[in-house]
Amino acid sequence: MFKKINILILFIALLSYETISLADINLSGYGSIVAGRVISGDEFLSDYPNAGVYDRDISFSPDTSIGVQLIASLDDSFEFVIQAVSNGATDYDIDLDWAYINYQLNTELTIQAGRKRLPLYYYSDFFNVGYAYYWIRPPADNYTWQISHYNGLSLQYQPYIGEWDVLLNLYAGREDSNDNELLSFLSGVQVDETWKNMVGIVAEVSKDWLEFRATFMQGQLDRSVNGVVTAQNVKQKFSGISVNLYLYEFIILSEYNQYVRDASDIHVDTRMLSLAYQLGAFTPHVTRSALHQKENKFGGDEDHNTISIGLRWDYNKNTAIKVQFDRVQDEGVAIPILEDSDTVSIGVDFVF
Amino acid sequence: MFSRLNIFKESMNKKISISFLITVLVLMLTHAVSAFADAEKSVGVLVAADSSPVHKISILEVRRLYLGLPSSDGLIKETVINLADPVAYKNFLKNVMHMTDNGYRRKIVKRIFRQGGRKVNEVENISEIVSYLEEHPYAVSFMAEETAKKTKSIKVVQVLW
Repeated sequence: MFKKINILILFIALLSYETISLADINLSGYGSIVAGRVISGDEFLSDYPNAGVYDRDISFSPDTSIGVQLIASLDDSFEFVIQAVSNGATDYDIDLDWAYINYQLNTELTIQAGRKRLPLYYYSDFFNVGYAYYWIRPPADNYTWQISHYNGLSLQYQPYIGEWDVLLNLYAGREDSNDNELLSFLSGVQVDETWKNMVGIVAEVSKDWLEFRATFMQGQLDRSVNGVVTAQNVKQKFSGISVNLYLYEFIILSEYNQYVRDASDIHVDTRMLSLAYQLGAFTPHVTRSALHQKENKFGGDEDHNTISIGLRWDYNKNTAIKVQFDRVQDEGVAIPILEDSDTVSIGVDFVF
Repeated sequence: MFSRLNIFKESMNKKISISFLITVLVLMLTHAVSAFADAEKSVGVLVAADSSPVHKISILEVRRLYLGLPSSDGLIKETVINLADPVAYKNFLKNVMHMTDNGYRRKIVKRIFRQGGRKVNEVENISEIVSYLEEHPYAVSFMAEETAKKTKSIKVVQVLW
């Protein structure tokens, strides 16, 4: 409902600018074509939000996606941004990842209203843009959340601080997800999920060799399973830090995130450490990621980790070819996530 | 007798080691000085069309512009990456952007698809850069000072490195 109202408002605003011409429209896009299969075990959940799963047969669906972004400048400070994405994991349905109006208050401050990706963790808001990272996909153990978007307001502040790039992002909003992809897949019945009263902040500081990111978000959750309300106004909190180092050819990426839902006694830690070395156009890498949810008073636990080894080849300035091996160890007792598996995937990422 | 001989050998070895180290140091210094001299010889400049109203800005602001952020006075609307001269591009990345080519591309792609940014124009031919600047008076590019001196219809806005 909110999604439809937001998009309607955006289109009305766009139509009110009759003078918009082709010269004011900027088109760009990205895509990933990935094939993979499980070589040991039965299944591998590679894309949690879209419930993308590999099995023993070669499949292109779980990680293949294509996105197109259109920016229409309405005047010097007003622009409309829309990004449509088609994911193989959701049968190539076209979803709106982004649809918002951006207003530039001054050179350092912008405000956005509409639909955006939820910037929970480091790769959350460019999760589908495979070209922007060296893996086939961001480490799955760290990106397990069922909601990836919000509809609301966002304020971005990017000041000058010497050679440091700084970004502060405040946001607020909600998302309603009927027949949620991930929860319905895992539980086998229809699950409707709403995240509401979300308020979050992201701080990013970076320079040539260092990136630091801290994030916090809190909000409330409503859930119904097969039409029966099972949770209402349940408070939840996300927090995380990420430190990335680019030391000449050597790259170190790291993340540590936490999720807390006290009412359900759920405390989740996720972490990731990745090392890579750039040899010209080739970037070999190795990564360990893990999700740990300790057993709670309701008997729930979730515990899995992944070792990934891969290679990125920058074939040209707009195209990267990747190959990756993932070994998942699923140690969850009450909530196993598709159990142990080894998976091989190969893909091409491009931007245009 | 043997011990004297050993002492003599050790002292000779030390002398050789020290002289070897000094030689290496001198070679390194010579290389560093010549590299520095090369860096001094290579001057890069920010350029715009002759008719452009663009004026001098700080190097930090040039960096922000090439990251896709707006200029402080709103005058410069576009930036052009000069791929016609790989050495100038390398120096630009090193001295202005302070990052590698891969790092820069990764940053731009992230900005485009996370924050609704626009692509930075890339041009592989000096005459095309000049044409682009002439058609877009609020655009800037960079090149080696020597190239800028030889090229008509453009002006040097400032020295970048």
